[in-house]
Amino acid sequence: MELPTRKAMKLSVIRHWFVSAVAVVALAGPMAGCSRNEATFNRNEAYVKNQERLTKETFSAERKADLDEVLSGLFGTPDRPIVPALGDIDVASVMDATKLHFAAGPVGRDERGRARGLYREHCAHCHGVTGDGGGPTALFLNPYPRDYRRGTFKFKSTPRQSKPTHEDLKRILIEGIPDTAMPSFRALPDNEIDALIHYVRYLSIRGESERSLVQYALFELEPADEEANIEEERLFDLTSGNRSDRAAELREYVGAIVQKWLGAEAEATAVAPPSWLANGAELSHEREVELLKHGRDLFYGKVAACVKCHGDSAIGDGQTTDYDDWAKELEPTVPGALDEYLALGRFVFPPRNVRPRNLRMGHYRGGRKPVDIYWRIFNGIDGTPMPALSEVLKQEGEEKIGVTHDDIWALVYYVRSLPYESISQPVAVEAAYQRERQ
Amino acid sequence: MTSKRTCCVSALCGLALMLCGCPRQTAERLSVDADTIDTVRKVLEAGVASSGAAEVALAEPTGWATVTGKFTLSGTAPANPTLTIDKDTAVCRAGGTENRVVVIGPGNGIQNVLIYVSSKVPNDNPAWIHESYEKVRTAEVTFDQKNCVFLSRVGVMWAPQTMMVKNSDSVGHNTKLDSTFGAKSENFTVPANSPGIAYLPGGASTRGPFPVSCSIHPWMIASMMVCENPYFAVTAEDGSFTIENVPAGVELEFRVWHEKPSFIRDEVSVNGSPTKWKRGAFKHKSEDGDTLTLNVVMDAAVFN
Repeated sequence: MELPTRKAMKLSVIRHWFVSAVAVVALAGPMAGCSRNEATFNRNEAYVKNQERLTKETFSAERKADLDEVLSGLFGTPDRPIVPALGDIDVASVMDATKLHFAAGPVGRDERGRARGLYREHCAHCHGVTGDGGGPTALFLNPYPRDYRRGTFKFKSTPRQSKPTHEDLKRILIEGIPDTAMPSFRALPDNEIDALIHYVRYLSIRGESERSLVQYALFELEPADEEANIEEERLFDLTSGNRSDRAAELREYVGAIVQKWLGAEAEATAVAPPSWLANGAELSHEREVELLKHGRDLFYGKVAACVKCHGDSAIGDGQTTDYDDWAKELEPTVPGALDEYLALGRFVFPPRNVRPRNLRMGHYRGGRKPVDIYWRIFNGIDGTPMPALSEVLKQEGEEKIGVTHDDIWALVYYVRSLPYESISQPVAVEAAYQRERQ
Repeated sequence: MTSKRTCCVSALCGLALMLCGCPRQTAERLSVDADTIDTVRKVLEAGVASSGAAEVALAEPTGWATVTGKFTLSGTAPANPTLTIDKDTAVCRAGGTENRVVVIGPGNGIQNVLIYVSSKVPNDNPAWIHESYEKVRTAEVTFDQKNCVFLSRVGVMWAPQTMMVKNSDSVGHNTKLDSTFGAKSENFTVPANSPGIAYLPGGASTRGPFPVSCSIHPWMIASMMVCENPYFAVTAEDGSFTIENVPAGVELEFRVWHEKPSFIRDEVSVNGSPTKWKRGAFKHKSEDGDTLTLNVVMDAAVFN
C-alpha cells in the first residue's frame, strides 16, 4: 500500500474541511432562515366562506389584504401583540399589555429572566397560535380544542352570549375540563394563569373583531359593479383621504366587543341556596328522597324535558345528530356545502355531532359543584343545543308553566344522583315522552 | 473515511434542504410587514382622543306616507324539500312533512317576503315615529309553535318590543334564536303548552334575519328579524303587504328579503318595469299623504 504523499494529505484535509464547511453552512442555512420567520395568525377563511355563502357575495383578495392590515394594526402579531387604543374604553382591564407580553411570543425568558411565551408553551399545541383551535394536535382530539374566535365560551356563570367572568376562565384553567383533553394548570403560579387569561381574551377579541369586520365588509361596504364600472369599496385604504372616519368606525366594532367583556363581571348569575337549606337548615334523609323524586319527575316531564336529549336512561343518546354552533358554521347538513369548507385547508376540521352529556358517568365538564350544575341548567350551555331553563315564578292566582328556583335545585340533586341510580330498572316514561325507536 | 462520508451525506442533505427552502407562506397565513403595521396603527389610533365624528344633521320628515303592494310569482316555484319527522311523531306528524321554504298562495302571491326600512331612523323622535306606533312599541309579539312547526316562518319585531315564545304543543320544545347581529341570542326551554317565555332582543340590525331552530326537533326552522324601526312587513298568503305611516319627505332605503334567495338581487319586475336591486335594496322618497304601490313580479328562477 502506497503511503499518501504530504501534498495529497494536505489536499485531502482541505477537501475534508471544505465538505464539512459546506455541510455546516447547508444545514445551518435553512435552520436559521426558517426559524427567523415570525409566527403569524391564520386568517379565518371558514368564516369568510360562511359569510360569502350567506350574502352571496365575494370577499375579494384585496379585502383580505385590507383585513390583514387592519387586524395587524389593531392587534399586532403573535410575537408582538398590541392592545388596541379605544379611547375611553378601559381596555387594559380586559387585556393588559404587560400580561400579554408575558404570555405571547416564543417560549423563553425575557431580559429580566421572566418566563415568556406561556401561551405557546402550554396552549398553542391544541388551541393554535391564532386561538382557532387548530394546533398540531387538534385533529386527534375529541372534542376538538375550543376555537376562541367566535367569542363563545361554554362553561361560565353568565347567561348565553355573555362573556365568561375572569373567575370562570380561571376555574377552567385550574380545574381543567374532565372528559376532554383540557388538563388542569393548577401547577402554574397565579400571575402566569392571570397572564394566560388576558391572552385568551386578547385572541378571542381579535378573532371576534375579524368576524365582525368580515361581516361589516360584506353587508355595509359597496360591492363592485362591473356593469356600472364601479370598484368595490375598500375595507381600509392607507392611501385614501378620509381614513379617519373609517378608523373611527373600525374602532367602534372592536370597542363593542371589548365592552361585552367589560360587562361580564356584572352579568354573573347569582345563585341563592335552595329554600330547604336556608338559615343553615340541614337536609333530612326523607326530604332528600322526596327531592330526588321531584327532580326525576322534572327530568322526565314535559316542562324541563331533559329526557328529550339526554335520553331515556340519561346516557346522552336522546339526540345524537345535532351540531354545536362552531360546527354549524360549516353547514354540515347542507348538501355540498361542507366540501367547500373542508377544501379551505388543514385548519378546517370535519365537524362532529355534539353529544348530550352522559349523566351516568359523573363527568361534569363545567365543574361538579352543585352551583356549576345549577348554572348549566339555568343558563344553558352557550354554543350548544343545551337550552336555558329559566325559572318562572309562580304568581298568586295565576298558574304559570315553568320551574321555580327550588325546582332547578331539585334537578341539580337528581342529576348528581344519576351516576348512583340503578340503570337496570329504567323509570317508566309517560307515553307522550317515550322516545320512538325505529 | 467515515467522517468524510458523513460530511458528504450531511452536505447533500443540507443542500437538498436549502433547495426545498423554508415552508412557503400559505395564503391562509397572514403576513404584514412591521412598517405597515406601524402605519396602520397610527392611522387607526389617530383621533381616538376626539369624541367621535360630528353629528350629521338629518333632514326631518315632512309627513307620512303608505307603502303597499304585492309580490307575485311568474312560472312554477320549485318543489319544497320533504322533512323527516322521527320524534314525537304522535304530535309532530300532524304538522306535515313539507319544508315550507317557498309558499305560494292564491293569485300566485308569494308569502313570507320581508320588506323593511334599512335607513337609520331615530327611534325616539316623534318626527320620525308616527304616533300610531306608540301602541306598537309596547305591544307583545307572539312566536308560537304547533305540531312542531313554527307558526311564523318569518318572524319580525321592533327592537323595543317583547316577543312571547309560546308552545301550543303537548310536547316540550326549545327555541334557539341564533342572532349574529345586534339582537341577543337565546335558547329557551319552552315547556309543553307554555303561554310564553319573554324574549327581549336588546338590540337590532339592518343586516337581515337570523335563524331560529329547535334542537329537540331538528327539522323545525324559521327566521327572525329584529328591526331598528317599526317600518316593516311580511307578505300575507296572497303576497300582499302594507306599511303605514312611513316618514315622508326624506329618502328612505328599503330592503327586500326572502328565505330562499336571501336579499333579492336577481332581476324582478316592479310595476311592469324590469328592476335590479343591489343587495335587495332600493331608495324612495315619498311626499306627505302619498301611497307607494309596489307590484313586484318575481320569476320562479329567483327561487331555484
